[in-house]
Amino acid sequence: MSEQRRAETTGEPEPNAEPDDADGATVDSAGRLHEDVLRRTGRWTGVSALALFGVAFGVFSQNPAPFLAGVFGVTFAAYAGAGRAPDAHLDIEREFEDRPDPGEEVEVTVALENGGESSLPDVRIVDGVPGQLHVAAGTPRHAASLDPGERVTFSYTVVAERGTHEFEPAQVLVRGFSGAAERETRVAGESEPLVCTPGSLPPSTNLSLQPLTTPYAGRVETDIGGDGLEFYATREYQPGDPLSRVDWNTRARTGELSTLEFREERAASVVLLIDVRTEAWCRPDESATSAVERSVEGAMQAFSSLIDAGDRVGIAALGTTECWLPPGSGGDHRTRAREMFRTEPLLSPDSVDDLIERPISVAALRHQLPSHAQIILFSPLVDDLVVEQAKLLDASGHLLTAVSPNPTTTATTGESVARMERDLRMADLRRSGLRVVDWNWEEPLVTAISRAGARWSA
Amino acid sequence: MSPAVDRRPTRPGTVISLAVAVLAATLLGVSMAPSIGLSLPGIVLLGAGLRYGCERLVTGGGLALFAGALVAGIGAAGVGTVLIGGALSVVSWDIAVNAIELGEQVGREAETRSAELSHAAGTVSVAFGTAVVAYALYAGVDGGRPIVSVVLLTVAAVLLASALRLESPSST
Repeated sequence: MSEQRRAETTGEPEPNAEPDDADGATVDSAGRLHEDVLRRTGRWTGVSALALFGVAFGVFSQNPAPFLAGVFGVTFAAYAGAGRAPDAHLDIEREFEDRPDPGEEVEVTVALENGGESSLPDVRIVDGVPGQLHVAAGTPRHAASLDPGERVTFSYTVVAERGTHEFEPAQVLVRGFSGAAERETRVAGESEPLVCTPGSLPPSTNLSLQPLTTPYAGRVETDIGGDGLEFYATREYQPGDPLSRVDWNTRARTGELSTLEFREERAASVVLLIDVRTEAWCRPDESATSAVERSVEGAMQAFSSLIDAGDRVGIAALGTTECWLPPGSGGDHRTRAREMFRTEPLLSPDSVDDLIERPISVAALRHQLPSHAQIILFSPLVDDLVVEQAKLLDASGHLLTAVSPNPTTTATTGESVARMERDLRMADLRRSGLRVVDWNWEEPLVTAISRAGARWSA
Repeated sequence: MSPAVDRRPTRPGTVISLAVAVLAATLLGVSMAPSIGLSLPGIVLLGAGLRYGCERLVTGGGLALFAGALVAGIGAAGVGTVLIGGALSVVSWDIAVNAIELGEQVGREAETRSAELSHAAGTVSVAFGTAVVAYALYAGVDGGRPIVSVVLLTVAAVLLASALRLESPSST
């Protein structure tokens, strides 16, 4: 009756007029249609046998006490028979930190409120954690009893991963006191998706770009004399040199005019080359993200860091020429790159099927590259082809730095062999004069770069 | 990174169920010692069922506890004791089964206390309501034994029949 009245006053279509109607469809607050499932749990089945036990014992012993005890069988059978699954009007809200960094642990707090008029003695909820996120601590499951208007909260921690993650409707089981019948329903809240985008590297990170630069002013120190801060050389005075650059000390000592030259600082043009071939889809264990994802995250961090420093940055994918953003700078370029990282299917793969199976050679890429562009290659280096192509690019004048997320482990003999092969490939690249950053799985990119930087400057 | 859900029976249910079972066994054992012979294996079965999440073992344990109450009734234990013992064994079994189901559905890690307590409250009130009514019936007709037996047998049969009818059409 209360149901009927509620429907009249609010003017809404009656969601659940028949409590026992198994096909009762409910339109939730988000306007999505889902159907409740009602079922008997059968947990009290056979409890009336207790009555037969009691009668049998009573007849056998000519004693009223066992007879009386047999009554339990009858009352509990009636209790179970009368049990109904109550109507559930539940509202769910999720709260979590906005825009976490990848790999950061995010605490999700779920609040479930009984918006109906009947009390729910037994509500079991399994929250719809987005498929790509992994629960690191706590559990997205909860059971509680909820009076009308009562609210229960629980929380769990997920590890954020790059991308936009929609929460699925929570699965809820509602039982009455006896638990003889249960209602399975889905509660979709109006939760915002969990959006996770990598930030830039800390400003102090020195990506140690190689001395291959554009004619524009920037921060990469070159071996070219001209305007700058650091002393580079002196040369013979030529008419037209500014007076402030004349080395007056030499003039006083020897009487000859000479001009000071400083090391020019110029902007680099960098192409971030990401390995998106199927070979690169490897990960240390089942629950981890793939090395491709890790490479893309690294590239995004390097992109913001480089473009903030005034360098010209572009994006390319290894094995294809379709995914290509020529080096550039400025706000528009930054927006274009962010859009590309977000929407390009090759850069946000859900499975290995999204990647490139038959890669084309880097010869095609070389046509696209500006002549003075240097390359930062992001690849797990798990096959020989990528090493060969990297050397080819480096030899063609595009100085190459490889940043390699390390997906290998030492759990089995085979995995140890894979790790050794990868170490050999890195040694091979270093012998060929390329720079390699070995990026271990658990560490941030900054740490890997500063460790590798120490090796380069030594 | 993501640990598998621990689907063993929940902790509060396990503790309460075993405590209630021990209480029932003690109560019956004090008034009639031989009933321990049934209730002790009952507790062991219940514990094993809760350890391994096996509903059959728990049901076996519950039955043994209930049989212990009936046996106590055959002996010297009073009607009141038998009723309370029976009520406690049903409650213990029910909480144990609920703990196993909750363990399977939401896992051992989840917070389940309020749901388990409200479920237990329902069962306890039905069990002790039954015990009180049955005792009142018994005390009300406290006359010759044959009359009591016949009356109770009739009442039990009627209730049994109605219960069986109640249960069958609704179970799908």
